[in-house]
Amino acid sequence: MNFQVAARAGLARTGTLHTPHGDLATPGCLMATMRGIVPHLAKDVLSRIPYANGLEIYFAEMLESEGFALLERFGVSAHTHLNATQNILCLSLRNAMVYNLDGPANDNRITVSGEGGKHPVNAELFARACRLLQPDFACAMADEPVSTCSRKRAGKAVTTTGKYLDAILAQGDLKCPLFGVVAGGSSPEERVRSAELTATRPVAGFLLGGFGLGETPQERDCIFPLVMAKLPAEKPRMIAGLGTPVEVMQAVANGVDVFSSAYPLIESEAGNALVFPLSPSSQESDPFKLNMRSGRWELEQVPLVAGCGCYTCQRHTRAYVRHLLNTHEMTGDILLMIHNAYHYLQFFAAIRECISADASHPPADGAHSQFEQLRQRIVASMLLPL
Amino acid sequence: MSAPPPPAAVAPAAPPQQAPFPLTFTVHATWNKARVATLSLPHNPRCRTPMFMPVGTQGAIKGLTAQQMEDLDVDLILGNTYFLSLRPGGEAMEKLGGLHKFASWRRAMLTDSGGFQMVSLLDLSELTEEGVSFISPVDGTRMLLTPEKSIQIQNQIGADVMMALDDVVSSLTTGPRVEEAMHRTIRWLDRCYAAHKRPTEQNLFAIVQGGLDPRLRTMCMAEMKKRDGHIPGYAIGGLSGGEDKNLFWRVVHQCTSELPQNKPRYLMGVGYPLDLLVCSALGVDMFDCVYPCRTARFGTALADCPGGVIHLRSDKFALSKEPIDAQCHCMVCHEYTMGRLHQLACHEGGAELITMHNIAYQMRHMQRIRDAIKGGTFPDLVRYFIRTLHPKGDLPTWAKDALEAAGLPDLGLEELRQMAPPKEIPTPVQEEAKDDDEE
Repeated sequence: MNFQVAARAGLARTGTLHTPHGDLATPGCLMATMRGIVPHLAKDVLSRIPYANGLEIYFAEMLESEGFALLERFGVSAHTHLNATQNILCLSLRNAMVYNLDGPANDNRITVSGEGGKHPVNAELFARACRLLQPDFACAMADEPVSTCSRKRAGKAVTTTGKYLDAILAQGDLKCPLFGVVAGGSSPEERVRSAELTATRPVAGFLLGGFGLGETPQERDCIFPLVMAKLPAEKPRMIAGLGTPVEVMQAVANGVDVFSSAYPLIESEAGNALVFPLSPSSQESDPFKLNMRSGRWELEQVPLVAGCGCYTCQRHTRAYVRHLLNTHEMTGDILLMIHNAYHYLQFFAAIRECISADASHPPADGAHSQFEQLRQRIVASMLLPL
Repeated sequence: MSAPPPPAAVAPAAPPQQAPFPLTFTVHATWNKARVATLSLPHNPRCRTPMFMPVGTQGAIKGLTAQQMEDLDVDLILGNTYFLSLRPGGEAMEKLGGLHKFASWRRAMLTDSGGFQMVSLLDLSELTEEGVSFISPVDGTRMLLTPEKSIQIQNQIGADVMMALDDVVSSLTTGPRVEEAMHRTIRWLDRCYAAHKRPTEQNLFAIVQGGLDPRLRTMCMAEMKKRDGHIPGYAIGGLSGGEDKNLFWRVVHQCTSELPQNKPRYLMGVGYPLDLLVCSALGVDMFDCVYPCRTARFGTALADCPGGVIHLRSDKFALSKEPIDAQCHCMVCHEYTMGRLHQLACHEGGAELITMHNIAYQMRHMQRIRDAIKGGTFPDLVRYFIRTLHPKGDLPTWAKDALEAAGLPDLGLEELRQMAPPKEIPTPVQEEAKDDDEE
């Protein structure tokens, strides 16, 4: 794995994460999966969505539904088994769709929950999974309590997470790059301590763990710069647990490169189409999202987003998508998910363009950067009625 | 039924002029009763028959996109008039420019009359001479489906082929109700043609009824033949409802013998691969069935293998690195192993994929039937099919009899029975008792 930063604007940066299974343009997003597939998107459909080449696969699901013993008998990597040779795979313990790290933990093991129950995971099992699945990178075990925990609890999480990392590193060759986890809840002091500790270890990148667990945006604004200052600039930084466009832009503005998110899926399952603006200069007053189950679309023979390049918008209309959702046809979920995944990944493309533009043409004093203009456009869209 | 018996249907005095139907049916090759033809319809001038038509109940094939259906080379899909009349509704459909535009489907389409729901939603329906009254399962309101109403909605939907509203009785029904239904079907047929507002854009097919009684079937067809000038194509209705297959094939055989040779015949609700082969041999041109899609949602894939089906939820596929069918060109056989599909089929995410494969299988099956008829190798295909799906020679008697009637007396079954190893062959598990027209 090789990470190259192409342009910087403030703390934000854009670049490329090169892996043997393809490149991820950063800031970029890994799609959350269920049992290794992006829900509702068959391979032929997924392959036609630009930038949808990064997938996050989950330890508990691999353990349960694949069964490590089964995979060992298979003797194949996750890429082969999932036939994902064109996909960048990241192995994570924390599931992007449901918080699954609330089981008992001690100095040696954490507990991850899956459909089949709770599974203790220690460094040995983790290393075994890495060697077996050989993802393009794996995020280390971490103690990730909810953000409202005490400073003392946050401190313990930092210490324990450090112990896990050292225990994993002591397992020898993992056959995949490892991302160390920065823990510490909402405590700035503990976050800094965790960042300092993790930065000294031989890891390929960093995962900012424990976010999206109840902390406020203000707390993140305080923590992000402190943590980033301690992390080596040449290594990629990933964050889990944040996914809304405003959350993403806040993290990007502080130097986060890689996201993992179920946000397009969550909005699809709620029946919403993402239509928020993707251009800093957009003058249209687009809302943020549309409730596609609403009867107001009954006769609307227009795409979800005018000019959108996704399959759904190129071929179908709001009226048809609404009809399929209304009649509980599976194809409705598919069409909505195609659009939302496409729109969301185009949002990351827009962010990258803004950073590149701001890097080559820094805004004049007092003027807003392209990045900030895009952010303000999106925030304004959220204030419009749905 | 307490209503007074209505007057007998009156056939048009003189045979009507042959109407210029928005359809042509050109037979290219025949093998005994079987025929290969091109059915030219307004939205698809090249429908290849015999053809299988997947069911898109409410304007979409469950779990597939229109693009995927085009990739699968499907010529024609079905829509269900009753369900589309509930949502989005006939008025809305008209405002939306019809189902083709609404669903962005660029090939041919066929709508049923809504009459099948008399059987499938029997508890919610009530029959009079005027029509069928349904209680909507969506909102509980009552709707009277008359021949006129069915045609009005089908005109609003705008499919290439519409079906006349028939009085459908379960094929398990016996007695005077079957005859009554046949006569009513004829009376309703006349009302349907009278109500048809777009005869130059849409084809209205008649449906032969008469249950399992050859006498009633003949009477029905005789009445319809008097109206042949109005009728661009014929359907064989009232079958595939769980009746004895020994009676089923004889009705099909009778109908394909008595119906006009120059018009397409559509056998409603039939879709098992063996049935498609046998009924193609008997001269049927069009088929529809929810079977390949529905069985996929139970984790069952269609394949050329003993029994003809693969139950992917079975643990024995957990370790398989093989595709469902190495000969299949579909995306699923290209991209997914049976081991992977086993995991997905046991949870979720497998249904769409297996549906896709099963439709691909049906399309390929029909293609080889057409090729064999054209190439004069139909007997070879039948023997290959039997050897592959029934390697012990365990072909059902009805199929053997039907194929013999179609001109294939020697299927080599005895040879297979003698050659067959004593090994047990998995028998298909029937997870659905019968096929419904809607899913």
